Amino acid sequence: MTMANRISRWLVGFGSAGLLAMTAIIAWQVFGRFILSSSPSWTEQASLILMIWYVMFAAAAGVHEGFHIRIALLEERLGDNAAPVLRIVAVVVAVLGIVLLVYGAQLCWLVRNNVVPSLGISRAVAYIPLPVSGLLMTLFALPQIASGRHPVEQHDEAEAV
Amino acid sequence: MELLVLFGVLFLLLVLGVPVGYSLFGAALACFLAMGIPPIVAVQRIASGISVFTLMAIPFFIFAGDLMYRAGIAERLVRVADAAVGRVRGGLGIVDVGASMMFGAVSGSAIASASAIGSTMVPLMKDKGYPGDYAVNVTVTAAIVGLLIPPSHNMIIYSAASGIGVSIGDLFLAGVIPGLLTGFMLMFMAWIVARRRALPMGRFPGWREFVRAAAYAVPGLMTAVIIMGGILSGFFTPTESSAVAVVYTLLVGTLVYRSLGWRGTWEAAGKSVRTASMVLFIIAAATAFGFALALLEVPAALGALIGLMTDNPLLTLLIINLMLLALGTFMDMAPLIVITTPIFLPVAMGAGVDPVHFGIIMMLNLGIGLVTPPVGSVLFVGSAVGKIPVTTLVKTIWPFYLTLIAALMLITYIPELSLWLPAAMGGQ
Repeated sequence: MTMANRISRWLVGFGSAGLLAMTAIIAWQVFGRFILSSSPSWTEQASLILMIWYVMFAAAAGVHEGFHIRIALLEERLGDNAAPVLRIVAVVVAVLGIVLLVYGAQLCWLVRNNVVPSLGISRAVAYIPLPVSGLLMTLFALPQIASGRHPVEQHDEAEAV
Repeated sequence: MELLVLFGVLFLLLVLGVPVGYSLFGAALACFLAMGIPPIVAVQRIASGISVFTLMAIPFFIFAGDLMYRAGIAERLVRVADAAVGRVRGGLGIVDVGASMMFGAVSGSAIASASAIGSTMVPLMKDKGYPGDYAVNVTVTAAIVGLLIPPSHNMIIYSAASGIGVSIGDLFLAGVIPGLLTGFMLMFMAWIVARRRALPMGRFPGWREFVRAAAYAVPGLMTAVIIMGGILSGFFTPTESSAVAVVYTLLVGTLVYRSLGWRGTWEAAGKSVRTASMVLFIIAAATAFGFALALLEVPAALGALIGLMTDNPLLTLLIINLMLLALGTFMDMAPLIVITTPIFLPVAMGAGVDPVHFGIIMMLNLGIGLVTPPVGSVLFVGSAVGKIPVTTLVKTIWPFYLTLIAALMLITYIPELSLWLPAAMGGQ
């Protein structure tokens, strides 16, 4: 339980650092174009790959923290008897996590020889977070399957866009 | 048959309470299995759905919005609006709308607006004797205006989903007049409701105070000038402008307002990462879902169906609006833009509607979905900020719903409201 808390916090912390780094990279791109009048070519690809990384990892943390937006009407109706429904929800998330893990890994393998233009690294680097976050999602869903309760209390206020 | 699987699974998962992104992913996956398509296609669509450059604007705009809140920019905007119109009956309702419009001009996210303006305005209004439900209802509906007033990250999603490269600069410009119109209509309704409920009056603090308040807000409001000026002059792309907004807000917050430190920045980053990851995961999953729809030729079939029902462009737009409003009540804005744009945009264009105009219609229409239960994320934020249950809020929110619907009709049927400004500024 505390282990899951720690990993989840670490994932969000990685995301925060990623967001700040991404800000710096794009700011550098604008700065480079207007002040140094040479547009660095690696910035867009690098920040996009960074975003894929932290979005997928934070999305996995979201399974633990329970911040993904959803319709909670049925659960509220059932009140104290909601455990079976919460178990089913967690099973669905866990299964989809396994799909991401297995087929995400296949996808990485398929694109391993594609090179990202301007970075010179394998496209697989961009897609590695898919299988990894899939595994994490499944692991984070397990406690809820076992207990029929949310792993942690709702994180903050309801958040979405 | 496969169509039944796609929508049946989606509906079942949503009702069970599976998070929206996972429901979309699961439904697409089930449909692919029914069609004999390997599951890797779903994962590959998710990967491609998230690998889009323009989507980088989403975390940036969310982050900038949260930083603006922590830097106290929202508070300063409220002070300006209060000094200007606080003196009339129900003046704080009008102040609330005005502050939300200004916040909409500096931030690209309706959620950020609802939580930033809401956490300043709602306690203030309660203090001055306004009922909490009125305060929250005005705040959440006014936050929708920010979707129309540029910048708006949902317009960026629309541009990406259109598949025909609708210009983000044109969309931003096109939203200005509809945004102002909707905002003024909401102010008017806030005033009428305040009169009928005999809400308190403020007093004019004097010109000195007004000028002082305005001077304090100027560095914050400059964000709008930088973003719009930068995009329109071609200085930077919309994505770059959102990153510049983050950097500028950081500078203003730490150096000018001195209310933003390392701690606040780090906390804002964490909160923004959570929101952004949730939104982007939904968009990625919606891309897989949209691919399934396209394989089943749903867009063409729906277009033909609407064509059978009517060949009148006015009725076509009405039907599309009604369908979007219905979908908006139980789905969030971002996935609906990704899923429905490829369906309805060709139909609308077939009826002679300009894609820029259609984008503005979608923003307001789906925005209304953000303040309607059972799934309305802006309404939820308002309910959390004001500590008032959604069921209490919806009892007195209907005048504001009606105002938004009226604005939607005006914007739908008077294309010039949207298209005049981009044309005048030499776009199109």
